Amino acid sequence: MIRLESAHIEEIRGIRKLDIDFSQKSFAIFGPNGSGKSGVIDAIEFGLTGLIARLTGKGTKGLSVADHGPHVDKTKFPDAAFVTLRVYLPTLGKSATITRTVSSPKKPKIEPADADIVQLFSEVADHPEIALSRRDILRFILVEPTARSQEIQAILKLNEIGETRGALNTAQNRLQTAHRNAEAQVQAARSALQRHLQVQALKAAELLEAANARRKLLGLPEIAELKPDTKLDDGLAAGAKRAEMNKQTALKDLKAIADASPGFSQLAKAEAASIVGNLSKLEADPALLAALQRRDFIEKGLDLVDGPDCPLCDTTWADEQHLREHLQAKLAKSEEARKVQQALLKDGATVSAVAIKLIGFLAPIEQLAKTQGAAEFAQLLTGWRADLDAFKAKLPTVAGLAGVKGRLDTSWVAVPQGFSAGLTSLTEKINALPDQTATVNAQTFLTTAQLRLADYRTAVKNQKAAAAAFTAAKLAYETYCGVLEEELNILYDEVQKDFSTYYREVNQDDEDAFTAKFTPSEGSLGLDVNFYDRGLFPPAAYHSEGHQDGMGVCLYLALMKRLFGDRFTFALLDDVVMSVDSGHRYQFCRLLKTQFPDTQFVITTHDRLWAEQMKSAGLITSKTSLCFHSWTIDTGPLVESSAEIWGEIGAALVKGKVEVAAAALRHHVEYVSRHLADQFGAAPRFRADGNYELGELLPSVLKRLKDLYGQAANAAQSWGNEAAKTAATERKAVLSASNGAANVEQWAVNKAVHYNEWANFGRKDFEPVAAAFKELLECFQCPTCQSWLYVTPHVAPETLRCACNALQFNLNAKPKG
Amino acid sequence: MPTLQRLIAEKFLARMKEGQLLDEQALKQMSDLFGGGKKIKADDLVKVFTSPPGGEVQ
Repeated sequence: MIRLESAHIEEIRGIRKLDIDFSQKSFAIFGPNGSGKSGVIDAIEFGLTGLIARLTGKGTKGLSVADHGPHVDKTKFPDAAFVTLRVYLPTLGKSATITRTVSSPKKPKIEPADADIVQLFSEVADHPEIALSRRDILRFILVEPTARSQEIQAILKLNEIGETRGALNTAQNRLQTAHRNAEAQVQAARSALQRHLQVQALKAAELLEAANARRKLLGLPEIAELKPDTKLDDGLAAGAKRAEMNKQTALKDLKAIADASPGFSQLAKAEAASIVGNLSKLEADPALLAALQRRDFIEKGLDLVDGPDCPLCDTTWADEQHLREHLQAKLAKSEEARKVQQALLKDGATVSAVAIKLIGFLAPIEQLAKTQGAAEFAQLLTGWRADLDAFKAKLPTVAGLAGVKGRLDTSWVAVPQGFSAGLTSLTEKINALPDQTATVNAQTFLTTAQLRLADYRTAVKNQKAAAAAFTAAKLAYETYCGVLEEELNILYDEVQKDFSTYYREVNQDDEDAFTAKFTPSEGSLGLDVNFYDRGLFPPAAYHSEGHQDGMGVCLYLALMKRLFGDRFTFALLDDVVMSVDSGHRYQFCRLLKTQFPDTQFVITTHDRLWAEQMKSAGLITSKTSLCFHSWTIDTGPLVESSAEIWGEIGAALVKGKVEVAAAALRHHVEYVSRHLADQFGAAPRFRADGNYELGELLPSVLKRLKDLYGQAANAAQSWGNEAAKTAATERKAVLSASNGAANVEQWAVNKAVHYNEWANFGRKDFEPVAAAFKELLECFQCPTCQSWLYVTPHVAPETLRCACNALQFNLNAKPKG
Repeated sequence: MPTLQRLIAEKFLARMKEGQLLDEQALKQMSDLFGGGKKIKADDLVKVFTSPPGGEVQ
């Protein structure tokens, strides 16, 4: 996707101002803990993605890029915190710069703002996984299978697939509920029609036989075949089709509900009790209830997510993906709540279907009461139906079920007072009516049959549509799950092979037969690794911490290869292989070079030896590495100085920036003092924490070099080497003179005071100071090769020398006697 | 390299077409949903699945 050419970082995290030339090459930044290395990683990550992983994710509650991205002294000035990255875009063959400020992380300034460049930067921003820290490694290796599955799915952007699967499942469930309700409607309509026809089974022949008997009586032609558009009352005069009840059917309807009414209290009793039981369980377990309530809440919120702003709390996230992952992680935590939720909704659906049937019973009675002038009873039935409808509407959600718990605990049918009396009264009223003439009976029979047939046809049509929709949704869900499983198995198989290959390459000396096995199952991903051909075990079972670290990086690389393929051109590895031993690190370098020749790795480490190994393995060079020797809150990382330092100081002074020149000089002297104290074996007052002050180091270095020159002069005299004696004596004299000019002993004692004094100097005041220190430090260097002098061997030194041997002083005097 | 998401969507749509449970219009709607680059919502899917006309009473 990209290669990094250079970075300019200002006021980000622990960095005040820093420029790094990456030259599109793999690059190492090394230095002790707390020297600001990870700040560079944070800054590059921020420049590319607008995110800083260290400030997001687990264990970072209360942290944010907006509040904690800027340097601690610039938290109120987020405009001052920014990163400018110059990158090369291999796929486009173009270079571009991207500048991102903490004050506006989502709106980077991209130059040139070509559409293809902007699009590519947008893609890069969608891949925060380009940065890997040791903390991330634990996410892959030392986690439960379910968590590993989530982490790996997240890094491979599989969450989107999971959401699609979830949407298909939700659609399937909704359509299943609709189908169940439609079936209940069919049963109710069929029951009403059968009751009217007085047939055992609803078959076309029986239906036509019953209808044709009435049609014959009325002199209407018989219906030979029941077609979808057949009307049983076809041919009846309009007047005969008036809505009049059929006495016999009315009595049957009344009898049916009267017979059923003693059993009302038993309707779906088991399901209602199950609902009450589960609701009581929730009430008794506030944590479970809270999890379920959150689940309901979060599910709704997740459905409404459309951008980085949380629809639930209005918090603005770094991007939509992070918000989704956050919400999904919360859902994953409430598995028990999910089971309770499913049981509640299943039982609720059953009660709902029974309620639909009951409403189907009531509808013709209500109509009968209205037509027969039983207004009060009709009103009671209307109210009851409305009540059942409202009750039914509560059943598809857990919150709704909780709202009707009391009703479910007694008799949810809630037969209204006066129902039995009203039913008896209406039955008596119908019974008291004179028998209908055969003609009227036949007419009302046909009109009622037609009405109920029409209702049944509509119900069946709806049910078939619902069945077709549910079948399609079910097939879609199952098909999607099948394809997903197939593809994930292929993916895991490829990742597993690459992972094993990479690990073997790093550990070929002791584990050249290493294999790994992923075991994917729904929602989890097991990982077992071979341990010296003794079998497959979890990674943490027998492998050392160093080996586990190696596994983490290898798995990361395998995932990146799968995610990006040929476009895996850039990765930030922040202190990730620290517990890997030196032998395996060399192999790791070889792995990066051979398996990822087109990938630019930016690697940080606190281990200088590891940095040297990267150089000797050819992964980096002196030009593609940077050493931070320390860090201060005022200056940020202090870079090990180079010959260019005097040019930088001079340039700052030309611009009148004395404070910049003063800081640079201070850093340089600090670095050189520490370096020389080591080179010479100087003896500052010992500190267990190694945090030596400049005021301790530089004087001890000066004294040590004076002693060494003195020792060299004495040794030369003992051997009769006048030239060497003169050279040593002259350098000692120059050193003393330069020390006096720089007035080291005065300013070096108190860093804070003198540092500030320098910053307040005028240009003319500071120029002599800089010149004096340049002259002083030159006393420690070879004038030919510019290298710093050192003693060898380090213990009981015999020689003081430079890298090119142009300067070489023997320290051993001629043995006496 | 096609993304895994796209690969799965393409295979899924091909198999749905083979299944012949959805008519052409519904398949087109599904294709639009899965190729639109937007989050697929259950409501949208319900609309697609309920779009075929139901059967008739014989």
